[in-house]
Amino acid sequence: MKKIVGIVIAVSTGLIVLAGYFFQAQLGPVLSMILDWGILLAGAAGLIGVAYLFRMHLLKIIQNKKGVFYSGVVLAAFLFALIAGFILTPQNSFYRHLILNVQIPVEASLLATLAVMLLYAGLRLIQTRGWTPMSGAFLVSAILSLIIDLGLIQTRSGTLGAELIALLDRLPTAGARGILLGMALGGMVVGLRVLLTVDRPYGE
Amino acid sequence: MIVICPECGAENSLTAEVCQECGASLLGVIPSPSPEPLEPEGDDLDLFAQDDPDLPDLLNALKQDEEMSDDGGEEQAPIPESPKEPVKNPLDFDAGEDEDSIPEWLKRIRKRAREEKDSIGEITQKINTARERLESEKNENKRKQYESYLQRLRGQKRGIEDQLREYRDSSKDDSDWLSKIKKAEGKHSDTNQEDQPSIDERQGDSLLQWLVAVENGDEAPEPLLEMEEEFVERHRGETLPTRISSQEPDLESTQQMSRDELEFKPLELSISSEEQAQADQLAVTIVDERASRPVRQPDRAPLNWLVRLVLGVLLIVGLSFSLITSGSTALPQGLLQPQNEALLYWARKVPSDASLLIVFDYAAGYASELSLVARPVLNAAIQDGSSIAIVSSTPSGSLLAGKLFNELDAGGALDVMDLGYFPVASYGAYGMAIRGNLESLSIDLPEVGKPLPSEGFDGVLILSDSYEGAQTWIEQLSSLMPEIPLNLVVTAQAGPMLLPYWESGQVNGMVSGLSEAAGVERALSDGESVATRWRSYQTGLLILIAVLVIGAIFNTDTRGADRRRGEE
Repeated sequence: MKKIVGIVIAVSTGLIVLAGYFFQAQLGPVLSMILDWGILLAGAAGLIGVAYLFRMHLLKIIQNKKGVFYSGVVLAAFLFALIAGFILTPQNSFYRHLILNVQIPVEASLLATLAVMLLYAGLRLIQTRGWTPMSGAFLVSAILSLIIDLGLIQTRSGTLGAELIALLDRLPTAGARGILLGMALGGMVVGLRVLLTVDRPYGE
Repeated sequence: MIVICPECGAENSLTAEVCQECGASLLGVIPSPSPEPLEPEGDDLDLFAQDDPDLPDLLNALKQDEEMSDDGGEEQAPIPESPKEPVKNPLDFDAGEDEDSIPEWLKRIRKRAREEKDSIGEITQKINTARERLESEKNENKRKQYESYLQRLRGQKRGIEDQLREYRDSSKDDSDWLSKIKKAEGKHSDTNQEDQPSIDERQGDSLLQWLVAVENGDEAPEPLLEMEEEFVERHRGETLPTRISSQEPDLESTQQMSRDELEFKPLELSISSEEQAQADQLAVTIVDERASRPVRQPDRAPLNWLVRLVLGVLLIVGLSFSLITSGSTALPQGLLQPQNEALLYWARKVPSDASLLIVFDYAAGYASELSLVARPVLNAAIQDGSSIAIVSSTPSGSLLAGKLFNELDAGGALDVMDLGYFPVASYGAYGMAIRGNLESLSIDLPEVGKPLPSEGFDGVLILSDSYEGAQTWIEQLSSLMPEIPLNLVVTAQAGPMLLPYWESGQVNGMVSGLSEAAGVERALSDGESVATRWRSYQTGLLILIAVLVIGAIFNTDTRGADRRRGEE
């Protein structure tokens, strides 16, 4: 019985949303209700996640486990941002600068580190695997993309060089189109399987 | 060999010159094979009571069948015992097993195995299936063996009949001794057959007498076939006896042949080649996972810390110097792409009082890049009288929007309506599209009570740092609001994956990354904010290229790879 209820809710919701693309005026109120429920559940899930993290770090501090200092920093920053947001509101320029002037450098530094790590990983690939067709193709494609992105190679339109660069420019697009087609087909199949109850990710 | 008297048919020894019965001369009489000695002690006519090595298989089979009929099937040969004790399934119930001695866990397992077939593991199920298959194959093989055995019996019987026929034909012309024998034995054709004793009633008759009876039709072959069929039916599905009692020498000699052919196969699982390959692969994977790997020792000494410091300082100084010595003149030609031109065309044509929806779908770490890319476009599209609505699908979207609008030329005078934050991008895209189409519909967006433009949006600008986020908005908005132009301002990493949406017409225009932003800025003549970073951008790319090339050439540890291969 429990399974049947879940199946009925999932399939009926999916079919109504699917039909809403074709009969928007008729199904508008139902779609509004379903969307409100979805937003409410997603917000509640976010709150639960925040509460879980808060509890975990709080327990870490209480039990004096390893890394208690970082947990204290996390909780202090969380409480400060929460209280300041309630008091000042996100539209306040001071609050905005306060948050973003911490968040943007930290995240940008992580991204810069990620770039260096990717570079090192590429070198390690060559170092560990040696010169194989795959590693060679990886290195050549990476270097070619960087050189083209430099913008230093200037060609006249209609020449062989311009065609060659245009070809290299279109290679990522060709690959991306293939990936998109595969993802679209995969998404459609997954949706159909859920609607036909072949897959039941909501239960069991 | 004996000599049969042509006058009276009596049997005489090979050396006798005259018949011991009638005294007739035996000279010139061809000796005949000696018949079976009679068994005067037997109560019944038992033609096969004695061990006769020349006895054909047909007769032995008849003997065996007769004995089985006499026993009524009650005393059958014992069931063969397998040379190996069969593996006992722990899930099987043993009647002689003490109930108290069974542990509780085994009781539960057995109970579950009784109630749920699926509770038995896959391997156990395979073993049970293999056992059942083996049993059926044994029965089938045994049936085939009996049938084959009977085929041979029939063939031998036909051979005997042929021999009898030939013998009768050959002796018909030149001798009438057989008729004399019949006469002497009281079985002449003229004699009434009802008066003749049946073969069971004739005690002490020899094999020759039985053959005579067959020849006369007293022992028709039909009953023999029926006996064979009964024999097959009786033994269908039975286990072939392997232990023969000592009182049945004939039976043993007869069945020995069949038992050898019916050698039981050992119990084995049926595994397909594909399953075997998968099992091998799994075993190899497990072995490889558990294998100890050699710790790689670099052949060359690591760089000195001083060298590392120098290289780091050079990198930082180079990037900083490139930032200081930058300028718009450094921008190369050809940076503006067709998708960029389409976006610029839209931005220039947007009316001054246009209502725009701007989607903030990027994290704070990409704020610097996206600010550089979006600023020229927003400066061209947004005028003093523009109506701006923003919606975000990242937690810091509202804050990033305020920061970006403050950097615009008309930042302070903008009328910005924040529609809030959607924790799930697809909900936001779907809700915005529905709300944009149905004005009367009241969807409780995060910022309730802020109405959307009654005439709809003049355009949508999506600022995203990832392909997935932008894809969600594109797919929902382009399908539900196809008349509203969609434009993308994305990071360099998301650009290549989103380009097909522009080529398919779902997106009006797009700009991605710093290089395209530089072209847009120069085309719009909108300051030098991108150009001032172009030199450092180029410097960073050149450093990456140099590190890749140098590292690939000098850091390839071919000896290490060879050593590892050798160790494997």
